[in-house]
Amino acid sequence: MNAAAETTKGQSEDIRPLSAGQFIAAPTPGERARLRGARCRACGETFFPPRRYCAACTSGEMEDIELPSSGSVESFTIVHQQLPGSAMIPPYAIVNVRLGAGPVVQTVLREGHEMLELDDDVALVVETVLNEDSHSYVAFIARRLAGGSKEEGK
Amino acid sequence: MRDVVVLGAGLHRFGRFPDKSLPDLGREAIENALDDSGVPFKDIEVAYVGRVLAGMGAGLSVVSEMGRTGIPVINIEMACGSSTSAFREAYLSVATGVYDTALVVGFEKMQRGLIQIADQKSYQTVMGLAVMPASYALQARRYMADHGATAEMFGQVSVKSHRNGALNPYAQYQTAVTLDDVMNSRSIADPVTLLQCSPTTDGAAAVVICAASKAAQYKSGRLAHVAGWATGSGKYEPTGDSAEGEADTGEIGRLVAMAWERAGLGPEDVDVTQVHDAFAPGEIFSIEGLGLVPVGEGAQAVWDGRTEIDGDIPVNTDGGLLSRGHPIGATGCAMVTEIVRQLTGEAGPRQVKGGDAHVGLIQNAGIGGMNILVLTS
Repeated sequence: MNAAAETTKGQSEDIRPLSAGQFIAAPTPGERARLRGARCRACGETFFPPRRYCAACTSGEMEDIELPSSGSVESFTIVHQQLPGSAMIPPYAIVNVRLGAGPVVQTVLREGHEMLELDDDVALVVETVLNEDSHSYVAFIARRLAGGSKEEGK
Repeated sequence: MRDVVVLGAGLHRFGRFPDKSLPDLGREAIENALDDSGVPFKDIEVAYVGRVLAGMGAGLSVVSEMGRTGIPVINIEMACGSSTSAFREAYLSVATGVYDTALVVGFEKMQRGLIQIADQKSYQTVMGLAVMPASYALQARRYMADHGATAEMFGQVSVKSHRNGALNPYAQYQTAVTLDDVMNSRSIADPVTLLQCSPTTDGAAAVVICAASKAAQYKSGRLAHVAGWATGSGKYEPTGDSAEGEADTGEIGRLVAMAWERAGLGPEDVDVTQVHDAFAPGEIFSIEGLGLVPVGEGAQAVWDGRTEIDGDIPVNTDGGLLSRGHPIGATGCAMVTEIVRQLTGEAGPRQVKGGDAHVGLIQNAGIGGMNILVLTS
């Protein structure tokens, strides 16, 4: 899996989501991530990724919803050790992002992680994370929102 | 349900043993547990085996080292909680009268480096999310902000664990470290540093349990009894049910309440505790979840020395996962072993409360669930 380390914008022929079913519409690199969540019609709990039965009340009456494409950083950690098989090159941040009243989603933040603080606002955007077998694999990652952080207010 | 006692327990030293096979490791632990119990292997009626990484039917290849008596050998897997799951099943089989004597074994041989918790091609791996210490680090950073704790308070867990490990001849690490050593070791997932991570380990642990009514033929004196237990798999808590930023101790708290109810005891009765400190912050989250200290006060309790061997809530007296080592399938039985030593006054230099320890609490977690055990003497 040597290609895993190649995260540069390749000349790949087609774009595929790294994880099928995460997006409510075809993802375009550089644009806001339109994530597919699920809401339980019985109890109202929301989930990401979507699921067929509600984890809270076990109802099978679930509907697709589009999740907000920004949220606040509930917590984060800076990873310094390479995970075998990963396309992410340390150091990078793993962030738990709370999407308003909705679910907490986990992803990475690659640029500006050294300025990240708890409760920062971040956007979820589509980026190419892996080029392999002439395919570009895209996923949603977190990006700090300009003007939303304490440093930039100084 | 019948009263059940732990008659014996024993380990193969935890560490790195590239020249030893799983049967070599497991046989030595079983021999030590049988010797401690006074039970000959031919009297063992069933064996429950906790193991994770070994191939199909690994339990039999180890247990049959002691003889082929035709007993059922049951393989159980719940990641790092495998051998407390095996213990729980063995306990239920004796408590319900199906068997009188049971053997519990846990063993593992592991590779060096970050443990692979997801398939190499999986989304979680490619995205760099399947980093085990990160889950503790994420919780730790939020905890620091919410409760005013410092990174050094987490580091102190590891200092204490290594000091205890130096008193344990079965521990992987038997050398004390300073807080500077811990804080200056390289960062793995900030704020968790290398010395705040449990190592990968080879090792084995075994326990012999017996119906209390049959114990006298094998052993006399002070024995550890199984007083309470609980197992669960991570109940989903709806978003609105906990205040934002609240420390996530729900699952431990839910389960330990079940264990206390079965035991007729409570957190104020505990003399000695084993918790799942796969990474240093784990001890702090666990003692809060178990109700040994209020939520938000665990880090300060560690910093003040309350979880030391001579503290008022001694935790992981044998070095815990951080220093004893963490051969994932064997860890649960090693936890039981240390609590049994403490409750029978046989813990030597690690002994708490001058040997006057009568209630021991165990919390062992794995991907897939958590086990709580309460032992008494």
